Amino acid sequence: MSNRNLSAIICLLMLTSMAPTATAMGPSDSVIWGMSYDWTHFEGDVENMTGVDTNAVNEDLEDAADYAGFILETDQVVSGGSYFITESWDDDTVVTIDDVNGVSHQVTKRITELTIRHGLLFDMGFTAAWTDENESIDIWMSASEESMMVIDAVYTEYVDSNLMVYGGDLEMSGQIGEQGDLSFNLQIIAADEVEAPEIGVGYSVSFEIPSLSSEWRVDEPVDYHHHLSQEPENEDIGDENGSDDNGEASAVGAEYDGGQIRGDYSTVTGYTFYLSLDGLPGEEFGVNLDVFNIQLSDSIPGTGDFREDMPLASGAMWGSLCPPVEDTESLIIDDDTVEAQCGLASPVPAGMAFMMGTSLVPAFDNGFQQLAEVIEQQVSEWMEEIDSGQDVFICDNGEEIPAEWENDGWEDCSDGSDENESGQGGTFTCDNGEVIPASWENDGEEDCSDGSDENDESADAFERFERMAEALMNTNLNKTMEAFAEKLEILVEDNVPSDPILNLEDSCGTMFWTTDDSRVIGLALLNDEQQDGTMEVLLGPEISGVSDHGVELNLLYFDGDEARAAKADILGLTQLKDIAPDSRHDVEELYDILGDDFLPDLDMTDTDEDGVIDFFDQDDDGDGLFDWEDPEPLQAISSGPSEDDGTDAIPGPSALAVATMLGAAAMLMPRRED
Amino acid sequence: MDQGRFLTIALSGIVLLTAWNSVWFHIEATGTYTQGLEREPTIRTEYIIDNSQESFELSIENSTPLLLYWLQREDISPESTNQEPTDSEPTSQTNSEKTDPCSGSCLDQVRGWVGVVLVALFASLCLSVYRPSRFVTAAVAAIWLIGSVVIIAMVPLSAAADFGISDDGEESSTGGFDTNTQETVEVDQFAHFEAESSMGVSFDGISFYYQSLGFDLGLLSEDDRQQVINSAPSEDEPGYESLIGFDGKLTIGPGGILTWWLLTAPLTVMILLGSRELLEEE
Repeated sequence: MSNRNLSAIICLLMLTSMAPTATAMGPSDSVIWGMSYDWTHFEGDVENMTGVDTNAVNEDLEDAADYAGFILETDQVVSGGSYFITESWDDDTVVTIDDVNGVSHQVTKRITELTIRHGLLFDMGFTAAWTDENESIDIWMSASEESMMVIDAVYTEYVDSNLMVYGGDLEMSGQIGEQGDLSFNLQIIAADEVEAPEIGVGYSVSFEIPSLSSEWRVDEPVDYHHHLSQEPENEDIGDENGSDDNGEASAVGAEYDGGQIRGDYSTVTGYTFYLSLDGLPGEEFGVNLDVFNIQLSDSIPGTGDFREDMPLASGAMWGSLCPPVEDTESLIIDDDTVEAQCGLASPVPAGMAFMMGTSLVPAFDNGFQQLAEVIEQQVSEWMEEIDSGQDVFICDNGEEIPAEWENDGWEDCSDGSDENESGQGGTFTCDNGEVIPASWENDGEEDCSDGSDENDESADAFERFERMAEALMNTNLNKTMEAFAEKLEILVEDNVPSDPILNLEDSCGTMFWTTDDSRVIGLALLNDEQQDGTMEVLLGPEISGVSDHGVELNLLYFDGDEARAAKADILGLTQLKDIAPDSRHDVEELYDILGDDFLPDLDMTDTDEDGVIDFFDQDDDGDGLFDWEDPEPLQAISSGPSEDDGTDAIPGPSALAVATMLGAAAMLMPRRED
Repeated sequence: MDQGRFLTIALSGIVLLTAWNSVWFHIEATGTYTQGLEREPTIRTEYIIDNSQESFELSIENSTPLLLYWLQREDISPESTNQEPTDSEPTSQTNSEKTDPCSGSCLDQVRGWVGVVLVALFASLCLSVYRPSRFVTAAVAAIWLIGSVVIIAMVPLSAAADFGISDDGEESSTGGFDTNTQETVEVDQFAHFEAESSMGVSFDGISFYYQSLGFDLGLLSEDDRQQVINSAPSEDEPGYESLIGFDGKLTIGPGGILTWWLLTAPLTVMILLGSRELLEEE
């Protein structure tokens, strides 16, 4: 091998070593389409669709409270991103696979990749303060939620030249996570008493599939791709399957004996639950604790394999009911016109959908098996406790009496066996020596002359609560709440239109596929904006002769090169902090409402000294790049880009890539001299 | 008063204030199930007393197998098998016999004592500077000693009294817990039970180490229990799955208040020595 080739191979290997191993981009002529949503614009999109301005509603709440005579502040913040991209292409290399019966078939590959990313951050804050002379109520509440989903699936389907399917292989990895926290502080001052409980509860659950591989092989080749290539001839089927009255849409479908699927997986199921209580009147209920924190956590690893019959069904409905998008349409993808059939069909091949479902069920079951067992046993124990709530005491002669009648000082069984402590336990001895029936203890009346029979501290607590409630009832609290509700009703009317801007009842959706190779190439959501019987594209590809909807949502559709670029951007995002960066989650207003308790350990560093601390600053170093797009958010670049946000910037090569190229060039240079 | 003695007094005040605001008493316990349960579940608890509150933290790592164990085991104590406890029975008996040594929270009383001791020490130190006398010197020493006793002994004892812990109660460290009775499982529910314990003293306080191993009869069916009681099953024999091993460590310490309190000792000595010099000069 020549040095030139050797250096080229080394160079290639070094470059390859830097690329992600789990997923990859398809060829440049692949069919690719997808959608994304930027949750930062959620409130704006709600307003665009429904006409309800959530910020104005918040202001209405605050104004109504102000009118009623108390302070109320509330706000919510949501951010994050969701992405769904599917890409498919053919690999015409002929391979040989064996079906379930061991018969070999010469086939080629159809590859479909599914890439899903979802990350969401949500925070909500609420404070209220009411005072009337000596009585007051203060409420402070903070709630947050985080969720994440990352799924990468590669499906390789084996087909012959007639698109008959002989099986498929699935490689998959994914993570699903969800976390929620709630902090609630309440302070009530009434009847010269103070109650100030602080409650914190939270949970997080996660399910990770580091790897899942499965293999599907058929008994007999299946023809579900033909559902997208051969229009059903019998128009009557359309009527039976939901076609319109004109019979323009027709459906086709079939269930198959899908052969066998087998595979293996590894999973990690994790959870954390915590409860934090502070300031509860525990002492009065016999709990000598002021602060109580409890946390349960686990991370359960699981591995397993499965082998079972593959369920398989497929179908399609040809034609859509979204005029003018009804039969075949011309889609503009990367400036090319593609003729596509409209209708309803699975966005991914039926084999992939069923393989994913069949493979995920045992993996999911395995991960949650132990946890489900705990929940099941705990619930059944609670049910038993509820069932035994009506305790009975069985007398020696077989009679049954309520359990609380035992040793109450009165003989309730005819044989007297319910009074079974020979006079000692059935009575209560007062501090002054008087003896009274045990049932008179803590019955709300003082039966001992020194009152020592009323010694239940919880009764004192309940009495105190009653006094506080009574004191609150004697204030203007009720009138304040009535005034608040009445004013709010009036104020909200202005911000909540009677009819939504975008009537979803006038919407419809359609898939697009190419009939020559039975491949879904996109979808569209249409809405009749003018209510004139003609739909406009709310979400979807550019369709010849069909106009775009006037309402602009931040739900984006992309195909072709645009989708390829989006996929390249998200492939490496596997952590919530990458999909939904904290720096985009602007909680400054919430901090203003909730104060230091919301962010008790807030770092006050202000790197660019612009008066906004880094935690709230979306450009910490003031270099014109948003932090989530800035590789070094805390280090300003001296000759950085202009004030432009940099979204269109071409990513530069990394230092390692530069070194690799220089190394390769250095190796090649002597050859040229030779 | 010279500047050095003023500074010493001021420093004593700061140290006493810091002592008041630091942790008074803490118990840390860690228990790991070393045998019988998957992934060695670990329980960590921390109990802390300070000048305003008692806090308790409990965390369980790898909790699923432990929760399953607690839920699956059957309480086989004689009380649970012979008779059903009723609400009225224990209430009337315990209440009639219960005495309230503190007429309220013992810890709150002791909190008051600690406050009084800290203020008294500071006041007596000031007095020893302004009006030095042998009586004041003796009072300072006495208050310091009383304070030490209150911090080291009275705080934990008052907390124990509030919890109703007394000498006649039997402690169990089998690692078992019954979700029906909400109580720890006694040794008599285990067969071939072996336990080892030891004790050590460190800067954190007194540490107790505990290891136990035994067959939890509550995990076995009624038919299998006698067989396990008769002979301990080996690894491949039925019943071996009930073998539960538990390692525990319990550390009891007086918290930061003792350190700060001890720091007052040299300051006190310095002040008293200065006072003595003044007395001798007079």
